[in-house]
Amino acid sequence: MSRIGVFVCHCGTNIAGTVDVEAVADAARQMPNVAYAGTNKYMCSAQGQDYIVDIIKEHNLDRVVIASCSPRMHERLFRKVLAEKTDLNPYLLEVANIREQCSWVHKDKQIGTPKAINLVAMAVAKADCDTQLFTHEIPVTKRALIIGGGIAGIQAALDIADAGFPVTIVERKTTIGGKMPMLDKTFPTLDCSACISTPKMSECEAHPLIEIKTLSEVEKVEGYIGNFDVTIREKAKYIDYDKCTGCGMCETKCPQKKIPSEFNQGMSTRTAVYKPFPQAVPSKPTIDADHCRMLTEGKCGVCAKVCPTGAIDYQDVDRVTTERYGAIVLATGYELIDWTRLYGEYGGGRYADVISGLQFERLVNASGPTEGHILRPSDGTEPKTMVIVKCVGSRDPHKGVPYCSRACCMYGAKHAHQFMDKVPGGKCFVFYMDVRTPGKNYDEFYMNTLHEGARYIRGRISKITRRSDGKLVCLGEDTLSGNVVEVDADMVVLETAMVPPEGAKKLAQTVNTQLGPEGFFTEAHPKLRPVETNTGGLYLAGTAQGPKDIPDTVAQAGAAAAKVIGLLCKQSIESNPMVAHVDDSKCSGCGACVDICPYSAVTLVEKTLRENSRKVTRTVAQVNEGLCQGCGACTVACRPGASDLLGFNDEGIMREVEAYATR
Amino acid sequence: MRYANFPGCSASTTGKAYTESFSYVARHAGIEIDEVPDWNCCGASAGRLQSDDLGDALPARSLANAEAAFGDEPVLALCAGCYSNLRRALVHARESEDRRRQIEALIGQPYEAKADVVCGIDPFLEPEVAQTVKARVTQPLNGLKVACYYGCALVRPRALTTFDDEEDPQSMEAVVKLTGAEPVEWGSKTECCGASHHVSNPTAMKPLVERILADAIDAGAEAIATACPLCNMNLDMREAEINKARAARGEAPLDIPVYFFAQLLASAMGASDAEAGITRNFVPGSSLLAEAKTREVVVELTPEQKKAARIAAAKKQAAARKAAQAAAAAAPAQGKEEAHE
Amino acid sequence: MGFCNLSELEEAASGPLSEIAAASGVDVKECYQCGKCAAGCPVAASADVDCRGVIRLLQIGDVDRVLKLQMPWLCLSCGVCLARCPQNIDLPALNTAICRYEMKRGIAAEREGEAFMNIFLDNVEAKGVSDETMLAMRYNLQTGHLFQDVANSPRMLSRGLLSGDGYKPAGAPDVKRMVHDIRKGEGGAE
Repeated sequence: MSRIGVFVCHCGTNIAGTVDVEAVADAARQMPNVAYAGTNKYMCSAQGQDYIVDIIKEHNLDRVVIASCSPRMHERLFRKVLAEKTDLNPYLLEVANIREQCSWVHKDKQIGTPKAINLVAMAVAKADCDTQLFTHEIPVTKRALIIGGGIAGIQAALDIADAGFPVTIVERKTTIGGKMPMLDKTFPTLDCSACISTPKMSECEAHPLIEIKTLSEVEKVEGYIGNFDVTIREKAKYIDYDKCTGCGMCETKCPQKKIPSEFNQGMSTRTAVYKPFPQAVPSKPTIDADHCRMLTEGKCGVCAKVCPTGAIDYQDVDRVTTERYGAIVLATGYELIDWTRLYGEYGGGRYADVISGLQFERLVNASGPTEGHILRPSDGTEPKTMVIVKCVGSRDPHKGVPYCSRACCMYGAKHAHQFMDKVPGGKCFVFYMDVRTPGKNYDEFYMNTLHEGARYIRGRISKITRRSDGKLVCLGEDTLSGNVVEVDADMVVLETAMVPPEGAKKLAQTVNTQLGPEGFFTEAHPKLRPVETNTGGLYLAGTAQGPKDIPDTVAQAGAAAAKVIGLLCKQSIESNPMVAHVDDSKCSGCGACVDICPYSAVTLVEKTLRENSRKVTRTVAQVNEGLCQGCGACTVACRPGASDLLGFNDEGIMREVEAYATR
Repeated sequence: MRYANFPGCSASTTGKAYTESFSYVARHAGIEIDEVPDWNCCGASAGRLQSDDLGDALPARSLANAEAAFGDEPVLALCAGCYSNLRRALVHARESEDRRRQIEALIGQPYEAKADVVCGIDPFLEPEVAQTVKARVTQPLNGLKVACYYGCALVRPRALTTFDDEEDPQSMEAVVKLTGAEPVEWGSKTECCGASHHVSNPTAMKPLVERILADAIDAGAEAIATACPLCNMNLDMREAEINKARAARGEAPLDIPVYFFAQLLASAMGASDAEAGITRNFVPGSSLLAEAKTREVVVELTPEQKKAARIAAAKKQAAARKAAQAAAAAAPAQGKEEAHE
Repeated sequence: MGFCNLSELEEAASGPLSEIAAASGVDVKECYQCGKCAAGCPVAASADVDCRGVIRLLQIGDVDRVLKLQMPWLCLSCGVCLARCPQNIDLPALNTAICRYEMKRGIAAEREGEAFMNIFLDNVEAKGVSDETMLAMRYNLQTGHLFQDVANSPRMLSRGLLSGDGYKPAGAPDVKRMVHDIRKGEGGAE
């Protein structure tokens, strides 16, 4: 016989408004094993906590049911109270959610009260089956891994390293920096994007605690919070960075000069041995194996001949290393949607002067292909009329993505401003659906652009055709006047949607976390745990989590870093005791749990067991308690019923159902 | 390849030239045609405006007749309007078994929706047919700049048609290229011509045709190719009216002949103007084709051919250089030898 | 431009709105009025209210005004709007549903559009095929556009494009019955 105490919270009027809490307590007193039931205005307050502690001692209770808000809200708090102020094991506690799932969704007490009583009855039934659970200590490896070296990854790396923990940045491209150094000016202050991002890149390179691995990808992640074993493939660069001084001789002499430059968005060319831009970090070149004549055809070798330090190594191979990290930050960024594949009505990429916003950034940038002069890619003339189309791919579930990409309204306004600034007498038409400027000084910037003369037309461009005189005829509707409108433009800039980068899905599988329907990484809670994932020790920074602008990205990177530092500061962490447990005697070793586990926490092992007083060696499932997140999938898949979830054991769940069904 | 032909009401009137030229090409390209027995009007836009039932029943009755006679032999609809309506009935019958049964009840006969429905361009996308046509082109339209015009019903809506692209289809271009003509890239290939609204609302429809003609000319086209009798008539017959209005406004005329794509194929395969129905065109179309046939052929090399040519030239040059070097080397040696002696 | 009381409109519109929505499968709430449809629409420039405007009026419940519009009748069902609509809204189906709603109640906003449809279907009912010459003549007579396309007739005749002889009396009796029954609303009776 257990002695259960039931504590019903009023939560002010949050619960008491639609649930008769006294009636709930009265009903609870009639339930089996309930030794005490009472109510309190705010159970989570200091006074409420003391009340619980006093009653437990006074009535010699051995189980506690608290009927209040969602367990996600205060379960941890109540467990702490039990652990620190009573002799009870903190896992002998059940929380009945009579707020979010009851009082908040019902309007009158007629419905709210009986439902709350049912919920309490179920919790009481389950509490009777609760057992003591114990956490254990997991050591923490005091190093962090950042996947993705854009501004989010850089900021997180610097913050973590400045706190004294070693950091490794793994970057897929040949340089860190991501997209920010490609941008010209940043809204709303119009400070130079490269001028504020490249110093951070150099700071990373110079930081004694930061290791940068470019041209690298994470291949495998094993282990769990505090102890991830990460396998990283560093692709061959064909240049020995220990010998290379970054003098640039190889780049000057490389005969393969016609490769479209990724950094300049295809609007200029680069060589096969190259550094994407002068401030690249590491500040040493790489050989592009797909275009190098020596590596593709076995002929050439010019760079090796001119290199003064003999750093060129055509025999270079990929290096695969495995190292242990305590925490991982996903800062994988975004890509722009490939509009040419989707929008035939905008020419599908056939018109050279219909460009993406990122291409415009390069055109207007002093280090870009036109040295900052806005010139048409087709004929190098200065466009006098420019059309900006917003929401290309965004808010278009039919052809693109359903969501808003958040930054385009602002950089669209910035593009309009820059065009009018650089092309005196130029006309700029911005076709928009809505103008979304909810940031500090954002709407002021937009209004300023309007005053400078940008014509904002509320409507989507339906079609762009190219006339023989080179004009791009843009057809749209001004939905505010109801007129169909046409603009004969010299250049069109499409502000395209942010989409998850290629490989995000594979990476999610590698690191064992979830993607949302749009393909961005899912945060643990959209409001309260925005930089954490459901996998312990795995954090999110920047656009990997969803479209956002630079200020939000940097803020989130700092937040992720704070979470990582908080983890790495600890000598050890407490494990979650509510994990799966396998009863060896029942396990048939079928492996169904291994297949279904989303966290790769279950493995099959050979075990020597004592059965019928004989020693036998059998294959049975074993749960890695560090990896297990307590989802319970294995307990459902297990046919012999060998797998059970501690804290949510089968018997407890069945008793809950029974309690509800028999009322 | 055999097709069950659904001629449609325009086959013997506004689409006569399409029927004639298509038959000519079919005969010479190994396309075999059966006529759908006892076919009826597809309902045009009126059937589907009246009700979904009439919109499905009218085309389905002919499809059922085709199926009864020729099984799953594809049904060919030369008119884009007919093609669209036949495909609608087919797609509806295939989408749901309930709808198929309802359609059977409406038309009072079995309809399994087995046979596919194709448009006039489709047979030429079969590689063997394209090969045959290419081989039979005896009078190529060398470099004739053609704007291929699809209109709407062939390409939209995607749920009904199976065309390559809604905004920039390329199939007609591929077929027209077989004649030696050069399709131009242009922006109005899938704009609407106004269809039958030219009868009920002519003033609003004229600008649509005018824009299509003007865009084709602006893109450098010398001719327009169509694949629908109604589109063809709207462009071809109304060009004169439009030019009259333009003259009154003091604007230059839009002079461009309009052909069914099959007329271009037939003419290039040696059909006389009468056989290809070109004498029926409103904008005279004979002289342009005759002139194109006399043009000098400009052979456009593929990148691979260009590369091969470059390599051959370089090799030749290298060989010449080597020979010259050898000769130069031999000469002093000879001189030395001579001197030695 | 006009004045309307939105609270009253909401009440009055719900019946017609749900009927039109059910018939067309279009939920007007999906539309966020970007106007990509109207911008590509071949008849938008000549219409009283363009296709986006039709949806807007339905959104605010001004059904009375929608039922007086030319636009649904002008729609060519060319499908550009649907092809480009970010929300995949089937505007041709919506326009058709509005026309049918009006015809069912004898309040077609465009008598000529209805007349054209009826003459066409009379023709098909009688002959099984559509005789374009007859169609144009009867339409012009009935609607009073006596001389429309008359200038083109001799040109068509001389090119052999007006021959009435090409028609075989296709499937006459059963097509007649089928078209008749469906038009009377009795089609497909089992």
